[in-house]
Amino acid sequence: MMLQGEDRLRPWLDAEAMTWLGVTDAANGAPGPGAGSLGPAGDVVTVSVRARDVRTGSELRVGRMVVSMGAVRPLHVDGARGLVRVFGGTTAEAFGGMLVQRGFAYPTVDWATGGRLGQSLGDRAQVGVSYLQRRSDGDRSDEELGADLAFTPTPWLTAASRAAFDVASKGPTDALVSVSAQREEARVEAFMTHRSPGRLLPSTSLFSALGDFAATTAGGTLRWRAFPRLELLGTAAAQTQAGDVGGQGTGRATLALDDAWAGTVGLEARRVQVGAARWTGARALVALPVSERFRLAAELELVRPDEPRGRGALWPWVLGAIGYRPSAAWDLAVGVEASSGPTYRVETHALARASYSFERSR
Amino acid sequence: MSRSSPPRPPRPPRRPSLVGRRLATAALLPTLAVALAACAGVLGIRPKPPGRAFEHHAHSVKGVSCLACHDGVARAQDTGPLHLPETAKCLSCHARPHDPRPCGGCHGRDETRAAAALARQHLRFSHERHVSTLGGQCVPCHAAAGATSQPALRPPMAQCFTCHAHEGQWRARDCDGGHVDLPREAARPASHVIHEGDFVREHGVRAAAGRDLCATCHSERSCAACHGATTAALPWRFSFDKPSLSGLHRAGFRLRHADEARANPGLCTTCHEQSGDGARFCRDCHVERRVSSGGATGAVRSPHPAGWVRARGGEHGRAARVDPASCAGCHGGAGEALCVGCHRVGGPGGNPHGRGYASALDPLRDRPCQACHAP
Repeated sequence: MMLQGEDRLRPWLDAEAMTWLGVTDAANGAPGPGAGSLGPAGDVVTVSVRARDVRTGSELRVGRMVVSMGAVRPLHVDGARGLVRVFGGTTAEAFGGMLVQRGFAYPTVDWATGGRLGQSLGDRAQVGVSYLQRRSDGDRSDEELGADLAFTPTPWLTAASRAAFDVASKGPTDALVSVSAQREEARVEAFMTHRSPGRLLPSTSLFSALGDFAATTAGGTLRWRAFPRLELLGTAAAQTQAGDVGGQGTGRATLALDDAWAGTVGLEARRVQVGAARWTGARALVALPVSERFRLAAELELVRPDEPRGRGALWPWVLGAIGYRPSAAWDLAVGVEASSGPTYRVETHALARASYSFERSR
Repeated sequence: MSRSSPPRPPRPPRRPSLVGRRLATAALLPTLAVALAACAGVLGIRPKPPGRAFEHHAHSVKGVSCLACHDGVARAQDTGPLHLPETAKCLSCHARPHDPRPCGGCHGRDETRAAAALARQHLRFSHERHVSTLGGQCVPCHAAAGATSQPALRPPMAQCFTCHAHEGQWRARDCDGGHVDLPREAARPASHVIHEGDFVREHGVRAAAGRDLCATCHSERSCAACHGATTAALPWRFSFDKPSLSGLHRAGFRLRHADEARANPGLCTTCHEQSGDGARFCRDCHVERRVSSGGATGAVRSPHPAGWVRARGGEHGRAARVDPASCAGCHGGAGEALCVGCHRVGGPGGNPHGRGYASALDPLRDRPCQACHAP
């Protein structure tokens, strides 16, 4: 059971929370004592209070939250985050806190701190530099410097980039560049990513001393609303990885069954050929509103690895679901999912969801 | 004795007669026309005709004031009724209507009325203040009301900015002056670049510089639902009845996750941290599915192919250099001892560092180095 809510107590003060409760296999599937027995589970995903200066937009948030500051990696912390806006479009952000552990079980003292200094250049561009340091049981596990840029010279052209540098291993952690142009029914994007897996690991991990091959990917995406009810999307990318050159591509066609796009039929094909990963996949989906209250959905995916290596020649996955909305507040759905995979012959899951939303009118 | 006749020359292909061709053409043309008409409907080329827009222009030309029909709107505040005229109001002038049914059934679009209702629900707007300031004129804001086509009667936000300078609020991301609750309003901006493409790849790089802009609509839950270490399941998992929604790990991702990880080295580490509790993420699942021992007894199958570890290396060395994060998923923490067994200084595994390896860590004091280099 998930519970989530938010409220604005005062114009300058608001709070939000998201928690869940459930029952799970107490032994987490492992054989031995306690195997097969069910036990309670639950956790807090986020619970925080924010105080905000409405005039300047400066704010302070305290509690459990995800902090993402510029190019450095996002972290889930129990702590505080502050943002100050000063004249001329300058922003200064800082955070500090303990790294979140499931069930509030903190075996060691892991904490992180960092911040970002940003500057808006009119309405066209934003630049920022950021810093992160994370410590695990006293040892430095991550130290990153980052830089980010967003640039929108015209309403139809945008560009964004970020790059992070690992201070401990002295090298780029990851970098991304994305440029997109959009005109009415078409959008095209060119992107490039560079990622060093060894530097993404905490520097306290022995594996951080092994990786020396970065993966660089460059590609493009085209989305085209060919007809009012037909959208085509294609993505192709080339990748270099430890001297190997490969690539992957996806093509998707989505046909709407009505002008509001409430019902759709989609077909997708994908090919991946990078290093040891070589497979072809196809996916079909149908979302069909039967009436105002009922909707049906079905999805089928087939994956064929180039080299089965004892994992089966075809991995099918199928899902069927029914949704029912008896009122504006209630939303119900049931479904069945079945698959056959590399490590099992058949697996079936039953899925159910019931949600109720409480709205407070003004 | 049998007599053999000389072979006949092959008969030339029979050409359809003129009548046949005309018949075929006559059949083909309607078929094509039906197919095109069907495509026009299916592809939305011929959209459903919208309802009839209300004849604001005709009323205006006749000199009927807006306030004559929209009675009371000059005193309307943020909340309250919409002041859309009822049939009785129409009958006060049109004494002999051409149809006994309510006028609003044909005159005026439902979409327009729905947009007005949404605006009343989500916007802070006092008609009273504006009407008095504009001397009773409505068209300066509702410019479309004077046009015959009337694409939308609700003024766009840019219309507000022609009179009001909200630069300070814009910089401070303070939308409360005009919007009651922007996140709940779920109003998408005209150009929503992040969601138009590959959201999973694009949102991070876009949000890096513009996180506070995202935060004008998206709350903490939007980030924590996926990036939170304590999340129960990804949001799409709860939306299994909406397959057209895009999201991370859709469809049979679990079947192909090993190949996905190989094709995108280090990408998993973006969310599945290899420290603290996150290090258990891969191992727990693999232990449960018996593709890793994790101390379990009984038959356990190895996820590694044949020849993974050999006397002179095997495939594992190269794989570890390409994506050490994958190794750390199961062999992290105490499992690192598995590597040190061979790759210790002077051990048979040799130097595990790659070419040009550099680090600011102290080989004798910092944690990972001590595993091999301890004095």
